[in-house]
Amino acid sequence: MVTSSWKKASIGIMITALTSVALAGCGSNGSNTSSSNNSGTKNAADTTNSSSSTNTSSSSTNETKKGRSDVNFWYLWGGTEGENMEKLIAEFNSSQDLYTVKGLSVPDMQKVIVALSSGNGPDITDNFSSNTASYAEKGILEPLDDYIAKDNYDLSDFVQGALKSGQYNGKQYALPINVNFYMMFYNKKMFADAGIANPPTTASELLDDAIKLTKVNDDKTLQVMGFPDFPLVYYVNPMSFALGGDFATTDGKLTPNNPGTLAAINLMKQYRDKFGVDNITKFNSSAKYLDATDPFISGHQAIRFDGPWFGNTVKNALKIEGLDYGIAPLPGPDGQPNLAGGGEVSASTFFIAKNAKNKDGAWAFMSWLMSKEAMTKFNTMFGNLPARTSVYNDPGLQNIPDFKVFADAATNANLKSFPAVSVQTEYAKLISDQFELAVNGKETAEQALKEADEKAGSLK
Amino acid sequence: MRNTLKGLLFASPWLIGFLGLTLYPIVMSFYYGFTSFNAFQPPKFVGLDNYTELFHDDLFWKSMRNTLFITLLGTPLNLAFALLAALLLNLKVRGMAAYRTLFYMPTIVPIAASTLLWIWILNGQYGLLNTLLSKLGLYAPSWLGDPVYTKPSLLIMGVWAVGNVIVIFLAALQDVSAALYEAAEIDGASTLRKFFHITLPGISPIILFQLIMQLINGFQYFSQAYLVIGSSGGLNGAQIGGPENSLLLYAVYLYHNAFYYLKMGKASAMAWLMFICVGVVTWAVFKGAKKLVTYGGE
Repeated sequence: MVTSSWKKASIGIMITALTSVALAGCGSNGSNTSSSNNSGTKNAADTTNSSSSTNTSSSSTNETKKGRSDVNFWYLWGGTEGENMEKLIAEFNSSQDLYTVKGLSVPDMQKVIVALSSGNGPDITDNFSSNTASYAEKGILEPLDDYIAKDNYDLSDFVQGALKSGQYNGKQYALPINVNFYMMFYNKKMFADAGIANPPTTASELLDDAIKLTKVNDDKTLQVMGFPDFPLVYYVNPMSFALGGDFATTDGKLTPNNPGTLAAINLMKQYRDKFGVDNITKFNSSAKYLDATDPFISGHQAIRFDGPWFGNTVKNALKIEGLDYGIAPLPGPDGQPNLAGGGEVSASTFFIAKNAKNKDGAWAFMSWLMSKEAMTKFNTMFGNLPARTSVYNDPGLQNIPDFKVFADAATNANLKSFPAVSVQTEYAKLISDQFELAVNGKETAEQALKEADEKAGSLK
Repeated sequence: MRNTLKGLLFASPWLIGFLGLTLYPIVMSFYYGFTSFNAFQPPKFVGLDNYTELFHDDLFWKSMRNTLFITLLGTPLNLAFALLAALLLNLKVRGMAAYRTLFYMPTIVPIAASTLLWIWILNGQYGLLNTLLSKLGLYAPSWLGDPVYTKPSLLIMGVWAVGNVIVIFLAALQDVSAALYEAAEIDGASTLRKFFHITLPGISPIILFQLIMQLINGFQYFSQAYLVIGSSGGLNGAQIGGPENSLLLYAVYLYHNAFYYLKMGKASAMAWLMFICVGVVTWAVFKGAKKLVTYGGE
């Protein structure tokens, strides 16, 4: 009796041991890559020796090898975008006879990271600028400065914020292929119907207009959301910057409790109080982003913060016609026109793995892809804004929906990037968590940000 | 001696697999729990730092509370529902095979597919469930948007897919000796009495087994939460724990630590804490169930 129950117990323990510990090693099946990226990076060290004057062609300086060597390139894109990437790869492969780039669509960032950690990852891959600092700190990324210097590679015409977002501790670890930031999209018909002539330029105008534009159902749920409350992640950081805030001081101290974030919370809170937090969260959790039922596309949202990919997705991927919208900079703080046109800038970046087997080949491909010609092709196909401003007059790019308005806004000095600290991911989550508590009315804005300040000090 | 060797040789595929793919990772994760390790640079021994860091981590406790909610409410709910369903499916009615298939069907649907389906059903504004609730004049909550309702939503999804539990209960029910029921009927026992004095004791070992499996599943709850979070917060990378972190379950947070923050040491420490928790709970259940469980033949 005693032995048999002990046997049962030990079998039970065995089962629990195997199943629970196995969890730590389990892989991922996430789908965590969307075309968006809500934070960029910024470096304390502003200048590097990276900009140089002459433009040379990429791999020609490498010594000639016998035969071609393989370069493994994994990219996060899939579907049509993946096919576009393959076209560029084929073009690179036929343009020279040293390297053969082998492309593989791996739309799962965690999978790429796990593969890299075991040394079986790609030589070169794409990522988001919001990860540069964290990856560089962990030794995942190969510094590019030597390659840039060797080739005398010209980086002078890159959007500075985007280029900086690939830097950490004064070194260039990744190069941006595009530049992303948010602008205010507004439904022209709804504005006309509500008798509003111009898009709001300040915080208080935004609130007034949003209230006028909102339509409520009989049960108090929202029929039309006037405020850019959805998607929430496109509001938190961009609006904190737009209202004059910053998430770190120049010497690297984290400042989640800044006037911009406080103003952004209070602004949203006023709108939510007016129509009910419950009704807003119900609207948000029911909404799908960038498909045919997207509230802005289906006429249920009047103002939306979104990026340069929006127009291209609507017109060329979703094939939706007749959506008449205008684009304006994010509203700035009241009475401070010098801060207008601010927001958060980030980028899609490419990096070479520190444990890459073919670093020269990876750099050859990267430098080709980042050349004016290839970068223009890439962005024409993907409908994005190139990181090099010198190509903005290219006729092909003008066909991208909303290209001009984003290109004009890209050089605004009030666009800032998220601080390039090694705890970037944790810090971004902390901000968004505290922001959510405040706008859901669980804590006051002051309380939530004070807590954020305390917790930011102990992030590691 | 030669036979032993031969035997080991035949068992070697499993042995090697077990040693290399199960035992080794378990031992290593124990070691990593005492190191600072990001999967790229060599692990650095830090003693109990990971554990003390966890005990001071608000999100760790939050994830613990979320998981306890799911486990402590989900386990009895699933067991009660499954037992009830099994009792009904054990009746002698025409077309029973069809009913049984119906109840088991949800289990065959892949978790990802069924979760996406439920996300639509539970959609706050256009969902089937809320349309029904508001037609009845009842409060229609924001199931997946309001932190109060997100975990109950997971419980609803869980109850829908207890086919496996039902099947095992059903088999156990059919194993209870018909002679006992017959004897009870002759003595004039009511249906309720028969249930409490014959059925329940008869299937008590199976209930214990199911209880433990459900508890372990509850503690390790991951997939549905991860998918629900991904579908609503999929717009960005790591800021995801559902509304106000209400869906940040223990296993989800462990995953975040391992693969978003690349804190393998902290994640390993979490795995071992969970292991200890599950071990203690399982032991306690065995201990407590001793008097309640009757094994036939003993």
